Amino acid sequence: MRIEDQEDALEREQQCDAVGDAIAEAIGMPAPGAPGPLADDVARVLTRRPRGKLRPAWKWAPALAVGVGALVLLATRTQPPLRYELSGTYAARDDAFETPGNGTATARFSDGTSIAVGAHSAARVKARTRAGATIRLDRGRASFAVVHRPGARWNVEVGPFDIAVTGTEFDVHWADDRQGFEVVMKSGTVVVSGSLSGEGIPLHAGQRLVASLANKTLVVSDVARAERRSDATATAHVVAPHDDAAPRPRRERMVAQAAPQLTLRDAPPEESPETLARLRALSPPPFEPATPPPAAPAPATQPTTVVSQLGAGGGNCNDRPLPQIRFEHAMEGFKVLSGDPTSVFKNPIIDHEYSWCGGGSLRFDSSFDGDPAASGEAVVFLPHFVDLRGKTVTVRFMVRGTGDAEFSARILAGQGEMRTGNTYTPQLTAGRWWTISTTFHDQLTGFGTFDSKIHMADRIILKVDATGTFRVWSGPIYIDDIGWR
Amino acid sequence: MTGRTPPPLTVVRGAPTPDDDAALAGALIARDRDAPNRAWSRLSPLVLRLLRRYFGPGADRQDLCQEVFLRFFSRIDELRDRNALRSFLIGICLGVAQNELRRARVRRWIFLTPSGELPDTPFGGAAPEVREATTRVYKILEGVSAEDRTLFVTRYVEKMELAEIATAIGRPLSTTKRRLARATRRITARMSGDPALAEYVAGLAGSKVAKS
Repeated sequence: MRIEDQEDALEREQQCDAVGDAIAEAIGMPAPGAPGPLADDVARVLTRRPRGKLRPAWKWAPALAVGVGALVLLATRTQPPLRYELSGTYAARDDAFETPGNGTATARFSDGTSIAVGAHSAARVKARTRAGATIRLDRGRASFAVVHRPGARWNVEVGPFDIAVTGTEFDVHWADDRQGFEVVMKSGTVVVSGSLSGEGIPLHAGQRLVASLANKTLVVSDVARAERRSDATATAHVVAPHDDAAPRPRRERMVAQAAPQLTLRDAPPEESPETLARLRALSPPPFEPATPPPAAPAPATQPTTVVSQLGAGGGNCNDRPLPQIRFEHAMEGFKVLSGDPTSVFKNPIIDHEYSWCGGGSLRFDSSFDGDPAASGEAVVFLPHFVDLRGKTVTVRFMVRGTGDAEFSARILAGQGEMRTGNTYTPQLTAGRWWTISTTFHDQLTGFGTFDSKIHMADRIILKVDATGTFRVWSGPIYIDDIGWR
Repeated sequence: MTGRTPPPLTVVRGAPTPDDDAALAGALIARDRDAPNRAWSRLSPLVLRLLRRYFGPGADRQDLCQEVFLRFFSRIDELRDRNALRSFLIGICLGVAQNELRRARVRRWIFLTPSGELPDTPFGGAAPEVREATTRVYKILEGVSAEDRTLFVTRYVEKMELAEIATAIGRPLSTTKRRLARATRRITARMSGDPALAEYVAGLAGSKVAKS
């Protein structure tokens, strides 16, 4: 501090000191007796407390915990299990009841839960606790409306399946003779476990699970779409991933709609002949490269190229030819291997949040746990056999979420268990869209010890391996499109 | 010696010693039956004076004095050094005063008086210019923070040592020094904005320096 500053500070202190003297002179000591008597209440504050200090918490806390625990245990033990009453038309014996072909029955539990059993059905209340009950549906249909309560535990056993419920509404159908099983969700969430479903498949409101033990198939679908779909008997574990929640209106959605839709279904679409002709003129035929545009000026019906302004991807994604599978919606005709709980890639779904081009992508939840033998595989079944000889397959995808993730990727073409494709694209990172491609030549290079049937490929596989230093990561992977030319 | 009148004898009450404070603290901690009244009779004038000087001209704050002792008795087991009983009490008193000041400011902000002036309560015995200066200084103190006001009153009016102030407000000595310097700078700057007060204060300071 400079001398001038010190002098200033000293002067300020002297001024305050002088002011303080003046105040002390003006406001001196209070007159004798000014404070008045000490209030009795105030005096008692000192004497009402115990002399000794409180016992430290570690001395009394265990005893308190034991006491509280005993009370809780006592309350738990003394609380009776749920009660229920049956109504309707039924024949009951012990806790089992059946309905005739022209009657229904309802079991109403004391917590408000109700189970409506359809005609020609058989069910049994296997166990009851204060938290819930275990119901076995031996045959027929039942509709469950389980009241959500903290700690509620309800289970529904259907054939080899088990449905864990916390609070929800859903319908169950079990056809013993055909070994068919169906769950239709109305609200809430359940987890279906048991045969075909591995450690458990979560089902949400609006979803339907259809399983066939005879065909060893299990399909999870959107209820509305499932009503229109007739191919529920797919290959085991092969699902047509349902659309994600309703997409928010975005510019990229408008872009996607401006571009012609590419239909990959076998069945002809239900458009008029004029519309079909126009679509043929606007887009390449499925699974075939587009013919080069004529040199002549484009006709009036030719759509103008729309430059996408995607937040996640971007770029001119309407360049021709369009990729054959764009994953705009689940009705494009492809199917996807759903994976089981141990798979690196699982829970396929059409996602409308992230897309390099258009308004949708195929999303998997990926989880690499450091196992060097574990690869993530996105297996997309094509609606037709495709001759890939001399063709280049391109896949555009992105891994999101884990910044340190490094991985390699390759494209395989498969027919049955046979696979072809050995071109790795290494050192890819998360958080950006990647476009990789592989050309399948006439001279086949078998992947494995068998020959490939590349001239009739039925599936395209994107295989991802974790590389680099950090090999334990998880996050969604989005496949925007698959094309070949 | 003849013809000279000896000065009248006066009873001189000795200043309380640390030993007295320590004994009182011991009695309070031991919950002696008469300890509260002993503490009140010995320490309440100190508390009341501090409150008067903290809040400035106005009625005595017996209610706050009782509240200070209520907290003092409630927290007596927190006293670590029995010789520091007085600092412990002053710390509680300043805390109660600061809380009351903040509450009063909110009340005044909500229920504005027509003039916004402090109530005019007569001083006893002071010269008119001293009373006028005191009133103006407290108007200035109305505009500074509660902590600045606490530091100003304890240091310059109560003449407490820096270490005592630090103990009372519960801050390190270095922090107390720094904040006191800042408070002094702010308050003198405001005083210099009042020409009459500035002239009076300059005169006071000059005469005090000359005396010393």
